[in-house]
Amino acid sequence: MEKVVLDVPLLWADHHVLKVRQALTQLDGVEDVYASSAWKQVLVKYDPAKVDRARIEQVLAQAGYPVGQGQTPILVEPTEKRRDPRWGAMDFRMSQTYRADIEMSGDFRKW
Amino acid sequence: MSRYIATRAIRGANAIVAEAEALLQKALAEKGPDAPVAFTNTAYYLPVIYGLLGHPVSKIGDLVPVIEHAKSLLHPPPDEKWWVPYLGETLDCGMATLLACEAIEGIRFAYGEQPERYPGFRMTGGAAFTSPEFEKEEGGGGYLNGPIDDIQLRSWGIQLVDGRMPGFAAIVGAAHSNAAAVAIVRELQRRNILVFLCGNVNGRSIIDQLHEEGVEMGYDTYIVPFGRDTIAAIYALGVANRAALAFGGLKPGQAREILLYNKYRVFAFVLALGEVDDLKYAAAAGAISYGFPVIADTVIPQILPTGVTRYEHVVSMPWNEIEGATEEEKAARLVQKCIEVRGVKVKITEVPIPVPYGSAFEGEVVRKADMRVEFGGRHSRAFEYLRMVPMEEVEDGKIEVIGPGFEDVPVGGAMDLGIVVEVAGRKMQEDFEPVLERQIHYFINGASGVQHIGQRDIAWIRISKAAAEKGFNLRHFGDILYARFHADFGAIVDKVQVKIITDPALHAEWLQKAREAYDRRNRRLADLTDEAVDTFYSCILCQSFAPTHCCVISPQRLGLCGAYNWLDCKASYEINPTGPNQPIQKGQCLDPVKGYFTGVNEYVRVASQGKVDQVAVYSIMENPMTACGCFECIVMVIPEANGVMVVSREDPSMTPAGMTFSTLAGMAGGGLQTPGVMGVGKYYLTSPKFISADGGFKRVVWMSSFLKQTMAEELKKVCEREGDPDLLDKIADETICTDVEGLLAYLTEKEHPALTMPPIF
Amino acid sequence: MAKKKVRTPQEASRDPAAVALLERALEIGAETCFYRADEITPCPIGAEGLCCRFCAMGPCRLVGDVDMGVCGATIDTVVARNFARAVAAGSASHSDHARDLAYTLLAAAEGHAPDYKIRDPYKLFEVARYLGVKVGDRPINEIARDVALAALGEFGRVQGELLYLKRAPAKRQKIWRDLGIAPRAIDREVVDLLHRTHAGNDQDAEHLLDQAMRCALADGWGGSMLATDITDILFGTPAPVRSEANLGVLREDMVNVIIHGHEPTLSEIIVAAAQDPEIIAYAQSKGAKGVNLAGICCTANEVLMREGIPLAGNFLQQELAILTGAVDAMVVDVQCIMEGLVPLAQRFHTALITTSPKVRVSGAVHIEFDEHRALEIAKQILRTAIDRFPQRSEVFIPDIRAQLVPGFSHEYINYALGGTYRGSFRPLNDAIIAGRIRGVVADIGCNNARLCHDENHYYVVAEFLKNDVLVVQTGCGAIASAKKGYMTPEAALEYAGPGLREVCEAVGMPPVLHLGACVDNSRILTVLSQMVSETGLGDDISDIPAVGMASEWMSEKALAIATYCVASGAYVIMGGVRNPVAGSPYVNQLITEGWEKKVGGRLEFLEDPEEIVRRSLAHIDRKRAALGLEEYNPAKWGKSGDWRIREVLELPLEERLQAVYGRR
Repeated sequence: MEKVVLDVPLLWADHHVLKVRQALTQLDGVEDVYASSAWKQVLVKYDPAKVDRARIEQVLAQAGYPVGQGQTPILVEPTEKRRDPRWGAMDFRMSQTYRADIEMSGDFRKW
Repeated sequence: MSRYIATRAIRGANAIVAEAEALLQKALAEKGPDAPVAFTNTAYYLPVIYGLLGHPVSKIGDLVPVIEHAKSLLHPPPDEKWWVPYLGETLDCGMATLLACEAIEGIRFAYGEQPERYPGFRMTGGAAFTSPEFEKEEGGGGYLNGPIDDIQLRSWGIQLVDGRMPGFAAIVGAAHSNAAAVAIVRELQRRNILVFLCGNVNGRSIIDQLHEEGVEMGYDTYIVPFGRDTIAAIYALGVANRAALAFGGLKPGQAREILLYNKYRVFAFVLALGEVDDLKYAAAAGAISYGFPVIADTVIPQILPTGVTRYEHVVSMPWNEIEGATEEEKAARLVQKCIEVRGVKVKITEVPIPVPYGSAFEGEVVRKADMRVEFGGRHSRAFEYLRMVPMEEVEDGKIEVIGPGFEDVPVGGAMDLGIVVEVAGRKMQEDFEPVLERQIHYFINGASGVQHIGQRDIAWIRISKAAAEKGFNLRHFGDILYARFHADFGAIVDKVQVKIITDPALHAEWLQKAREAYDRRNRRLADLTDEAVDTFYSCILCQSFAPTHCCVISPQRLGLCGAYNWLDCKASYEINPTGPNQPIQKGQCLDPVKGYFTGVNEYVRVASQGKVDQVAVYSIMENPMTACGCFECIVMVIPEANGVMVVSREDPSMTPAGMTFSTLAGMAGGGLQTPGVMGVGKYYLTSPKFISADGGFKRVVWMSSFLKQTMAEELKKVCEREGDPDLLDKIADETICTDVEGLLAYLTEKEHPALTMPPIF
Repeated sequence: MAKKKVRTPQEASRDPAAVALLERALEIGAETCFYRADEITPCPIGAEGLCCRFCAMGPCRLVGDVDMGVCGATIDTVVARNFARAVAAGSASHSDHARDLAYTLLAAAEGHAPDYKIRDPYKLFEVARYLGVKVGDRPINEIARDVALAALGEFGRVQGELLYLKRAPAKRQKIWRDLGIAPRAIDREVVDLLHRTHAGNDQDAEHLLDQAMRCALADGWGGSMLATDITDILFGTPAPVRSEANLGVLREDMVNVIIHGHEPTLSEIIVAAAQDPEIIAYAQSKGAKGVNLAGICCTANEVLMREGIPLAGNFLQQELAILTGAVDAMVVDVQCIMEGLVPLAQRFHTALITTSPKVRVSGAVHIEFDEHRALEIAKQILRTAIDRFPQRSEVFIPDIRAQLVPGFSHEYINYALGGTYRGSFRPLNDAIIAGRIRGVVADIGCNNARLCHDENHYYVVAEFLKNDVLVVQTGCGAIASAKKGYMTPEAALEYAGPGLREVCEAVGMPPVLHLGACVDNSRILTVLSQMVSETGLGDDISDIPAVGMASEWMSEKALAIATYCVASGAYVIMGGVRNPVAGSPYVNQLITEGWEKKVGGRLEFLEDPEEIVRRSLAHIDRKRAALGLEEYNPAKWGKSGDWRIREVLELPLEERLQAVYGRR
């Protein structure tokens, strides 16, 4: 039995884990899979007689999770000076305490 | 935020919004913009989106501006060095994540992918009983719950406000082991905290873990499985948003108020079990905006300064580092920490019995096949009787089992049982006997593996095999009652002793005594009219949720939640003189027909913070009583029929008013006076004072069949009292018609008296 | 006259870039303010406020046996009068600055100044609300015009009191009204104070000082606050940007234009013009890669906060910048411009360009600014600078600069602490209540050539950070911290105490917040008012555990700021040089105990920086105790942060999967 740790940048949430596992566990010769969305890595233990790393990578790519490729999209592009260009466009200009903040605070669970 | 968390949360938010957008494009292409999008049984559309943006989503095309808004909340992740601030940005990304997640679930609903399929799974008490469309397979099984429906939410309302249910825990991921999963959930149940389940770690969800361990999941056990990915966590926030809208009287679009409402009034937290990925961080950032802290059982960066949440924002308690020899001890410490971080005050009464105890177990069902023994029901007779006796006749803490135990009864058999509770106390009154006696049902039901139904001499108790194996025996009924009466009613009860009677001769003797007492009480209740007392009681328990609502409870009009009648309030006032139930001196009666009293008006004016000026206690048409959100029924005028309809909370169908209960509830709740609409407790229907100013029960032209069936006996008596024994048949229900035309036809055919009564307006 | 002891460069400044250039000055024999400060002894009579030159019967020096002027004015009266005059001048400066901005807004709204537009409509709506201008569906320019007119109305308000006073806590407003020091109109209070201090007028020290407070309040809650608000409307409300500070930002290969002074009106347009392809092409035609802008003093802070334009240095570095030989033009507007620049500029190739109709300096080039033709003039200025580029001779730019993240408007701080949906000051108040943040210090104001440049700023800020005190800064004090590297987010990890560090890590902010120019001290008033209304820290500004200070003050504006802060309830310490009311123990007592009794704040002049820190912390702890807050205990904090997960990240996957559950 061999094991391999693969970087899968698109494995960023647990609904993707379900898909990755589904793809890999169906593969003959794959004995154990640990798909980690936290670390965006997949640990595969497999029988080299039945399957090889290239095939595993191929199956992952077919499932939409190519090894070592792609990254999650960032929809807002920063500029060099203004790393966060958004704020100016948002209509948040508070200069007073919001009334409800005070009205709603306090001890409510009296009973 | 810590920069580590901010980086991941912001990345996760960008990714999920992009994913939602792609999914939306696909759905627009495949299903078209007009394809319907709806969650199960809710009047709040997609509740997070509806609450925060005030934007009702009912078809796929409606999601386009939602995704646009989500995109406008996104920010780039912070740099490794020389970064700019990220806390506000991360919280915004969290909100974007929530909008995207709910949009995704909405689209999944449109594709029939939600609630999630889960072969072999069965919800306790069936899937959402109000969702018959999901019961087609395997007798109600095969699916996880998905979102909570409005009906269930409202029925939890009173428990949330009176503290029986301190809050909810959204568990995301999977526990360190199956044993840990069970232990954590049991700890939460023990504290009556509602548990929502979602997410997975390496494909395993806590739902799988509990399922494997045979833990019952469903509304009745306070454990609700949402789905096996983190996206399903959005349903927990749907509950949060609807709590603010249904009980808090907030309007859709009041985003900040809704979030604050949750921060201060809904005691919820997120428990992240197992490794935490970008989306989990992003969703957690969303939860933090609601004031819900995050506790993880793994190493993650802690965010301890307070402010957005009430106490710490993110706390890490790596499972292996929690002190404790067993998984149970670790789970207890973890849950204790969660509660500290959220600032929930949970009172647990330690009940010395060999099975877990808590009101989360109240709804547990013991099936015939799992039953060790039963008392009452078809094959035996059980009763319970509580009486006050002089001080010197009670030996506090004395528990007697008189007669044989159930050891010799064959498995699955039945035996007779009598539970006699004798209490003494300086502030005890005979009037409180039924109030306390009714508690026996709740107290006994709290034991895991014990089921209690009914009351008085129609009580029916089952003990499961599992409970019996753990050593649960008859004496433990006494232990439970002794502990709980002292804990909950210590202010009026000084001494408690319990007799558990199985001895046949004694059983018969006590049953006779009990029946005499029931009879005496019935007569007393019949004498207890509004005119016979000087004092009504208020109930402002719900003001923690609906700040301007105030119930006025009179002997002939119980609280709209059905949980508090006049005697309950009287006892409650004795127990806690500064509590939510205060006496209201009726004062001068200004109008005996409509029910105007100077004392009531004065009280309500103050208690509603000036929002309500006067209340007509017996009228729906003029200054009707307000409602919080936890009413059992809604009464609403149908002008065309010159009468009213009564819709029960359990009834999901359309009504002749053209609205379902959920939609109607939006009009009736929130502490507003709306003439023609009123939320009531269902037993108010049987009162002679039921909208007596407007003609009384004869005005009822339509009523949910649920009420007709479950209250058949009581309603029959009402019809007789009203002098029209066949009246119940003349009242239509949803099986007969759900529109005004059908209703009028039916009423005319049956010659319903409302048609000939004076105009209701 | 005997030669005075002249400080070595190391004694004169703590800033290595400044030291390098002071050495350069010695080398080439150039004279700077540092040298002149050593040369000139401050007049000991004037320094204590004892010189009365309000009429031609004098000047009367009230020293020795003289305890009365010719007219009979007592020491107390004279000292109070001198102080009050300074406050009037300071208030006038800020407020007149605001007036010009209001006129620019008016011109922009009416379409007469096409190069300006309303860049922040949201802020406009917010300000409109305070000024009672209807928003509705009206066109932006109409609202802007009415806001401008309402703002201008505040200067000569006929009746009532300033509209912005209602932004203060209710209790504070009542104190002002009860004492009769609620300002009525901005100009009126200045004129009133000038009138009173004329010979033979108000001759009661306490009464004079009351009007000084009223005049200063008209600055803080009037002129300065309007200046801040209108600048935000015209040029955008600041949000964090990245930038750099110190003379190392000058470029050898580009045309360096230093913008210096206090007004953003022209410099904002220069920023735009510098990016104009036509100007870049012109610079290239002269052999430069383009135009590099850098700022000094508060003009610098204004364009730094909004555009991220780097800081060349603070007040005492204006001459040093020219000594680099790399400054092709220094464009100045108003306030804090040293006349000593002229001979220096003449020694080099630098064009010193005055632009304000109010400010001309003999020997400088004058290109008068007119907002109606703003871009055209900005380009003309830049061309003048570019034309000088080929005349550069030897260039000496010390390679010293520090990164910073400025841009903390009070609106952004609100946002930073909760985002669009939950932004508030709750997290800040919570942190103070819990004791993670012990208190807040505003270290603002000038440099003073009589002190070792930046020494006090560096020292007090470092001490406060160590003690978990959040520091907010404006003006030249802010520039000092920027140069020292206190304004990077990483500084929180390096310099802050454990509690402050936790808060900074949670928000991602530097431990020292740059709030803007010296008119933006009004932001501090807004922040303090909101901290009060957020609840938990008392019901007035004077209850908050906060201290204001100008640890190297020199200008009359600084005295005006100090006075309005005290009148708003703050404890204010003026650091470094001698107490200007030292001549009258009675007046000194009035501004300390007397004012504390009246308005809850007190004004102290302390020369020793260690004493400043000691008294500040004592004051903060006293206020904490009065609020019933927990005693400051740094041992409780510091447990959050990213360090532990970073250890986990080092491990290979299989070990990591175990390690996340912690050590057994």
